[in-house]
Amino acid sequence: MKNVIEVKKLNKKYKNLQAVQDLSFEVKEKEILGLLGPNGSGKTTTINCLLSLLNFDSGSINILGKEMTPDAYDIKSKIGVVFQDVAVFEELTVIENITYFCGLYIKDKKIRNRYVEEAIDLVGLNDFKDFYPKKLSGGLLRRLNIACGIAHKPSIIFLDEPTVAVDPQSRNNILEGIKKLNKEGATIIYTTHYMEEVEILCDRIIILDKGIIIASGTSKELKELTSIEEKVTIEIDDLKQEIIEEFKKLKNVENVSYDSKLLYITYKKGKDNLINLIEFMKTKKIKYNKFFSELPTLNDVFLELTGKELRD
Amino acid sequence: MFFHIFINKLKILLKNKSMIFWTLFFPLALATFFYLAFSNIDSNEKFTEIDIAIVDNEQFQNNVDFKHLMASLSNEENIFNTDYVNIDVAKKLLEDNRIKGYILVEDEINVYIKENGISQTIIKSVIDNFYQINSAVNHIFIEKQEITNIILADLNQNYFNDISNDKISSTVTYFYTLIGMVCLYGGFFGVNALNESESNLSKRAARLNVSPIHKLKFLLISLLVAFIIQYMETLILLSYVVYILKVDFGNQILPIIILTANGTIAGISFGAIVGLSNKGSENTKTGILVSVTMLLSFLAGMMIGDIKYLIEKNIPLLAKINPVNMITDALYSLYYYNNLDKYFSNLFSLIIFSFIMITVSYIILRRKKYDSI
Repeated sequence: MKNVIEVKKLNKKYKNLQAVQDLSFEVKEKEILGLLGPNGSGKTTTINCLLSLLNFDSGSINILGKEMTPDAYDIKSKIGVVFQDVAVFEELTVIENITYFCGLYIKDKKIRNRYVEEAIDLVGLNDFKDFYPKKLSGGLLRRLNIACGIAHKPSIIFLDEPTVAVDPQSRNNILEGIKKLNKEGATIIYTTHYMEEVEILCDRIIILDKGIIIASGTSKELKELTSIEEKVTIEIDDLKQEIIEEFKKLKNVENVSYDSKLLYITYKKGKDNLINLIEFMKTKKIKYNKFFSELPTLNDVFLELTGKELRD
Repeated sequence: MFFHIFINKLKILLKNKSMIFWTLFFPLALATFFYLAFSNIDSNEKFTEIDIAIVDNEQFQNNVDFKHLMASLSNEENIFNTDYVNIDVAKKLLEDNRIKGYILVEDEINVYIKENGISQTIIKSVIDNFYQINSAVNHIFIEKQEITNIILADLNQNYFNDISNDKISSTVTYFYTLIGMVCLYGGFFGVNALNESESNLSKRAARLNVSPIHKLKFLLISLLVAFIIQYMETLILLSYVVYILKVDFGNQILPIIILTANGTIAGISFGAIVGLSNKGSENTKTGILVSVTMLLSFLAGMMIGDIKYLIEKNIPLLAKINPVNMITDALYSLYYYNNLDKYFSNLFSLIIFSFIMITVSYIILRRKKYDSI
């Protein structure tokens, strides 16, 4: 598939802070690209540079094969943006807001009205069409914000942390809506610091830290970057220190900790880790209440690459 | 596209309760307050002739200009009720409080009073003005004697007209400054229009700037809507003041309509500059706008009429660049003067003011990208 966005050696500095450094990446047609990183990692700055809202110091940005500039109205007509902050008019109802923003792109009133109805349907605001924004909950407001950004059926959609401070129901609704837009053919650039979201949504992920790409690839590829094979958590009522020390001596064990009746064991890459663990507990007659294992997450990747948590 | 943005902007601004309050209901309330507060002042201040005496000596008889002036102010303009007496009688009349003061012409013209008051101030003011006019005429006299009499007659005539217009009312000025203030309140819409079009000022503007609509096109539509709403509000206020409160604005309707239209443009363009002046919230900018507008209105005499004259006398440049003062002066001149010279002078100043504000705004607005948003 062809590239719809190409970014080469993008640099952006705010006074003494290098917000984005030598950023190069491309976005393929109809893919969902996730920009993952903690707050201040340069995600929003990158998006604003891509949209030609911000000056940047060097580099180039091409969208749909053309250089992106503030006057590139033909490109802009094919773009939809959902900003991190809700950007709607308090004086207009839900349907009026969506109609207004959709009308900046779609001249034909009939088509516009149809698109507006489809957008309302997509974000699940059918019961709130005539509500004013101040009457909506935070989650519904976010949905309205999304509908305003995508109602005109853009071929490229930028979503900048659209689920911040959103209730689980609205989050699910938003994520489902994004998947649907992608299925309908939209290319999506999605920024977030929620690793679960990029794992669910994105075909490809770029992990940013301090304005630098520290890793990129599919979720699976990124997880392969970590030395961790799996993490095991066992609920044990009482555990003596010498037994804990014995856990540490098991094959492939990287780290063991015991806190509040929970034993955490991190395994390095290797085979039969769980079988060996269960065997060991059986031999030592260790009674346990719960036992569960999980694969490494993107947070583990980020932790290993940067030494800090994604949500730090 | 034009109508889509136009209609929606109209709807958005008309539904903005805070803005409509400040630009329409607050001025209406203020006008009502002025009306209630000042309704008795004019009748209480009804002008009565001031009793004075002039010492009828040789110097007075020889000073033809002054003699002519005093005769005119006494007999034609009915400002003074004058007794021509000798010095002893004049002193006695003053002692008995039968006159407010007497005038003795010697080498200079001197006013003798017993106590301070409005009447005594008027007598002194007449003498000061006479000196001023006479001094100007004396300078011309040296150069070209044949035109002296014409100028002297003209100056005296204007002077009499200015101070003796039977329409004089001390309260109308307050309503003129109110109209000036309301025009400047167009700045509310100017601030809003800028906030809604600059990406570094609001997220809605950022959303607009990623759409295929040219920023300046959007801004021009916003400013047009702003002008229509603010101008309608100004006309509503004007109608309320003229037709409901019965404040006399004279009968030159067309110049008033042109003036308030220009005043509204000045207000909106002033608001645009305030909107661009800092990255604060719209509320912060509105606060700045209200403060500055109130200050300009104060300096134009909205709260204390004498301030206007103090500023014009001591800091004339400030009076010249104050748009509220320009509007007040233009309305004042329409009301008091028979010709439109002073009106056009103020109108022109207002146009220059707007032009400067718009030019500066445009230069800043040409920027298409921002260093930070």
